[in-house]
Amino acid sequence: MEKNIKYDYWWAGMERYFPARLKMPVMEAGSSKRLYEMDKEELINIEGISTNYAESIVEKRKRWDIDAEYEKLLSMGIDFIPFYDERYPKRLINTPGHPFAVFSMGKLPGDDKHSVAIIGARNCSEYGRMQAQHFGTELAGYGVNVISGMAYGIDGVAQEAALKVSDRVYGILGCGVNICYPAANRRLYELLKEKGGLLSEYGIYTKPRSCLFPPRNRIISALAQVVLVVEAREMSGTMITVDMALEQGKEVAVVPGRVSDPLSTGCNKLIKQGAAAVTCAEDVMYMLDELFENNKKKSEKIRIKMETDEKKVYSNLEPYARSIGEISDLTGLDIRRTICALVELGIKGVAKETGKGYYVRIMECEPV
Amino acid sequence: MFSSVMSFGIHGIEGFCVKVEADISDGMPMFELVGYLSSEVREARERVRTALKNAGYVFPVKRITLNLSPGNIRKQGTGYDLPMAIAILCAMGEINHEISEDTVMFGELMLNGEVSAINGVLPMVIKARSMGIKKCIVPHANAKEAAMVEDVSIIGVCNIREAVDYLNHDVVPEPITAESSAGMDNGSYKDTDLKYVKGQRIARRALEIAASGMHNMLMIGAPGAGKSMLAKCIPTILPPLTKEEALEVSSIYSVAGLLGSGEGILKERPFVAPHHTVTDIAMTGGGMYPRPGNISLAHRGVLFLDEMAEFSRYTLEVLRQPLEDRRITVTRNGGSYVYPADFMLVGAMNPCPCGAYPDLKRCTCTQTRRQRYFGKLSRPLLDRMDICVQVERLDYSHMLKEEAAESSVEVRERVLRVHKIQKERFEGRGILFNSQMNPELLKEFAGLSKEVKDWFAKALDSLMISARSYNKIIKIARTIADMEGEVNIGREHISEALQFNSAGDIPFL
Repeated sequence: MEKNIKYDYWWAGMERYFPARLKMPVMEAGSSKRLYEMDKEELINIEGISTNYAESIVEKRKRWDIDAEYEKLLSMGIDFIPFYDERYPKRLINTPGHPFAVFSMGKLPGDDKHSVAIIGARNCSEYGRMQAQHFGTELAGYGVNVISGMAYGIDGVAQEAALKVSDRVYGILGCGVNICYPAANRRLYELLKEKGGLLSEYGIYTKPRSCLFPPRNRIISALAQVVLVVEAREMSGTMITVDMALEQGKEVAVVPGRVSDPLSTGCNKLIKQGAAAVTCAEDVMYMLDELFENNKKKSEKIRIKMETDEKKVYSNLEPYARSIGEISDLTGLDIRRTICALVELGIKGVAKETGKGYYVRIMECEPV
Repeated sequence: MFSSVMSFGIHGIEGFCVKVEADISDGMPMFELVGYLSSEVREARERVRTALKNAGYVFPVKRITLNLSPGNIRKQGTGYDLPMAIAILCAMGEINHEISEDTVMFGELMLNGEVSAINGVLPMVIKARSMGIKKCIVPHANAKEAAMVEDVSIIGVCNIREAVDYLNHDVVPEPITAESSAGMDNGSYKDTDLKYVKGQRIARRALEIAASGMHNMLMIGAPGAGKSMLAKCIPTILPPLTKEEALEVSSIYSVAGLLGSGEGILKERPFVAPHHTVTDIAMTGGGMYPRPGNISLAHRGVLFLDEMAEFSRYTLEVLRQPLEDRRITVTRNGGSYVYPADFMLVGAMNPCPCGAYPDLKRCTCTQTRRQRYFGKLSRPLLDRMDICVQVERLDYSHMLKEEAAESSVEVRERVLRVHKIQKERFEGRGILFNSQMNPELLKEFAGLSKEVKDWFAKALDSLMISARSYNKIIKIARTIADMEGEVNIGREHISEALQFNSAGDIPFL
């Protein structure tokens, strides 16, 4: 097949929202350059190109400067990688329905390393946040590629934690790679661009749309060997990713939640269906054949010095928000002493105020 | 034949002296009013003419000129009717002597010669007293209000005849005595009392701290948790209005026309709770003929903004300057008006649009929605809310508990004690409360020991609290220490202050 990246880039621009349709006509015609040179009648004869589509192709290429447009893309520091390119991730090319091309900033996920996708709810609990942080840090510490969607909640937390120990962290976006969505994750976006990598199959300046995220999720699962679900409701984008992972034959690992917790209904259902329940990063590494059961290192709890009141309060904190009043009732301490102990625990970094007057435990430790 | 009568007008909430001059001369019969008058003053012509006729006087068929001096201030309102009528009667010779300058009068006339109530009598009488005036002739309906000012004899008249009789023969229609100022605050808060508030230990504590140091407060809680009820209790635990404060507050209400006629002055601390659709002008005061707004009506009291996030952003932002200056300057084409606005701001809002956060089992809001909801309160405004507290939704077990809660009277006693400590501390410093301390005073009265300072610095760092909250936390800690009767601020005081620190430092993720 004739390789001409500038023409491929032009062709990639033909489908803003359904890039999955791009590949077939190119294979049919031989190359995108050929498509560029065809007239309308010839285009209609290609499978997958309707009359309307052919018209719009003809229209669009009149306004498209092949050289200038590609120069512009490169000047933005964005790589355009069509499927035949050798830098195109191998794990992706082996997936049916892989993108015609990907846009990337920063690094590309290397195929030499194991890779795990950490996914979960955007509207996550403090427990989920804690687990995402834990798994993100630990797995990144093992040198594994950490793949996720840079969303609010689990995704972002896991990636941010992973970036602290490694730069093999990759964000797969459901919008143009030059757009930061959600905008509040700007810091993470810049970090990923600088240290890790950003990847998207959508052209630059494509705005996020709800319909773009499920196809994005297939790339997340395709790039990973194990998909780790931290917290998910039963009907959620996370479960879509899991479905895709299963279709692609990937392993699915789940961090168990409470039976009664609506945020973990998805997780618990997956466990019931036979997904692996994992409680530490080593469990995941074991799934990746990196570690064997007997090699597991024992995780040690951090010891933190606490006063009597603080110990009492700490033992009554949960990863779920509890109000000061509740805690005071449970510990039998009066409001003022409870408040003093909570503030002190906050300073020690084991508790956190998530809503006004509501505290959660954010660190497991051994009070001494 | 010329005569003159003293009267008063209102500028902002201050009275100013107006001299009403009348001249009756020969010539073409006419009745002319001059002196930079607004249309309602101009209309007085017909009221005065008819009222005089119906009171039994013969309106002279001569050239009559009335002037309201000074001529460079716009005269508004209907209070000049009575002085105009009296000035004419005096010029006609119906009043047997010249009216001395230590007598002032104001009142609106009705066509049958009766005198009806006007707005702003109280500030006018206060101003009159300060100018050394001894006698005030006021509408009978305003007499009680005017009588609250000491050292001025008040003559309440029902009609022109009574005014003339008084001036000619010293016949006082009905002596008006001031209500005793003792027991200013008794029994006025009928159904509001902290003893009816069940549970809510934290909110009660925050309420007491806020009242003790006059700190602004933000309450966050689920719908139906009792935020409004708690807010309504704040005036009941604040000290009763002093005589001076009562006069000051009543003056504002008098100008706004909100002082019920026949009643004396206000006895309760104001509690103003505008609906969230209120406009910025209604909040600050203004209009073509400026009137005091909600913040001035809440002077020396509480301005309660329920559903604070629903107020228009602009309406909230205008609060910032009055919160600092404790007064508001309203400038209109008629001039600049200064209204006092020393109030305690109390806001209430839900933790998120659905009200269930942080209970993620029930909360249906996305993070973006929550952030947007909180984003409606700007950072500078949140910084002015010293105390932020959650109001928990009560479960039935608490509701059914019959244990008696502390009543407002008991709490008020403690608050009074703390107010006294502050008054002594800030003697001669121009402020009354801890919340008003500037950085210099903070250094003087709220210094921390080395050990506490180090611990506080560490706490700020690990709790990720911005430096701008530093002073605020110290101020609250000062109040908490005062409540304990401690001279030095300790760790436990700062600890509690940190908990009540405003929402500005909570990421609400």
